Amino acid sequence: MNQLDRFPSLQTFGEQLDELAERDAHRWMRPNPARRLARLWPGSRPHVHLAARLALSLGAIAAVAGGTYAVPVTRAAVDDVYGTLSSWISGDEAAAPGRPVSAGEDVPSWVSAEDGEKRVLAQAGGEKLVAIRQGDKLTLALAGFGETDTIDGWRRRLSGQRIDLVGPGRFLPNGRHDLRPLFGLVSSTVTRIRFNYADDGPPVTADRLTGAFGIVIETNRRPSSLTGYDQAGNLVARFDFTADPQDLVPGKAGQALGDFRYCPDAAHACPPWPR
Amino acid sequence: MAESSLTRSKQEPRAFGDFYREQAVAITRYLARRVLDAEVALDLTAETFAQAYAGRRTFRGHTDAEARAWLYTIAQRQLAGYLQRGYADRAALARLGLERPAAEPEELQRVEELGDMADLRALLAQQMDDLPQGYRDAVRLRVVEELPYPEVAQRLAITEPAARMRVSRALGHLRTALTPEISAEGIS
Repeated sequence: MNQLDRFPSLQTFGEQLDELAERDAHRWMRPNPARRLARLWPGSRPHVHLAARLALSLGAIAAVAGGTYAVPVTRAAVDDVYGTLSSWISGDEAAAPGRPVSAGEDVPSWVSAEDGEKRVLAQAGGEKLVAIRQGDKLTLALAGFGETDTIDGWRRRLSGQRIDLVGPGRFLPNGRHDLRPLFGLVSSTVTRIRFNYADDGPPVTADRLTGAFGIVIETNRRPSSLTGYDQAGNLVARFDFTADPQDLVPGKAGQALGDFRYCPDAAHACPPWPR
Repeated sequence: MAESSLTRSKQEPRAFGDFYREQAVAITRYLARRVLDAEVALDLTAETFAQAYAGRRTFRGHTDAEARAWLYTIAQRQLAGYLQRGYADRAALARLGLERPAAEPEELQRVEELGDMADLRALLAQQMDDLPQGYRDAVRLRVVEELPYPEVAQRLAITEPAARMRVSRALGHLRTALTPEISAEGIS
């Protein structure tokens, strides 16, 4: 049954909803998993249904990796990534992660244009990971993309995780496609992370973390894992990059999560890593 | 199975307009038949969709049927709140900056017809007439004139528990008689 044209006030109200939706579409459409994946693997085409399954969290990676790593099952009540954000979200400014965005600070224009409370959680390679809190919405923003969800959505995604990979930033300026920043969130227990390469060469580390990290990685070296350590140096989280991807990257069959190379001329995926 | 427009609206807010246009008239009819007041039905419809829009990301279903069930749950909540408080909630409308447009008399008449409200009123009047005098008076004093139970009891020269019992039984009778008619659109 649809006789809406017989009810002008209902029609007008529908137009109000359309206008509201139009505003919200511009406001919130930037971040979604498909767009995020598209940025993660330049040149790939977002595929919503596949991408939607790919929350780039430790848990999701664990699932596709077939149990190639383990995270301690038991945890303290707030010892997870959501725990590092929850106090701030619930209004405790003293417990807020990172620092407030300063007036006039250099942040991406689309981040500047957003309303809400903004905090810089991490920075690396000239790029910043910014959290924007707007009512019951939270956005994690990088220069080229971001992801927005309700607080409850973030809680579901981040609870139980000790590392959440937000994603890589832009390649460094001056054609440095061999370097790009990588950002993520960590639980309060994780005070140091190490980005390890399959060649067993020098890893990239960051320490004295307070809820987030930003590091600059070498994209032409095959990554093997991202490991997290507590203050005593114990391994408390591990993120494995070497799992069989099984077409994880939309439009890039064979390209693995964690492959951050620049391959603009490749028809599908970047070429296999040299053995 | 096709994804409902409500599901799509979680990622693409503009799809909510499709959902609204699919369901707005049916929801208005559903509410009109329960409040027997066209203006109130339109108020409740607007608040229902405002709440649905604001909360669409919490919808966990996928199909049109699940989307309808979710929406009717919101509508029922609005209805219950209205019956309890005596006025339609406007919280979501206010939060979203929406305003329910005024309806012209012709449109209000169409809402009356949409809900077959004249028939329902006639049936209600008939069922009221069928009640025993003491029960009918108890309902009129308590529900129509909104008197407190002690005063209803005083007016009818009965005890307060007896007044409560009469009102309760009379409303139960009316509910039993009217529910099949009210639910004739297939959604109870």
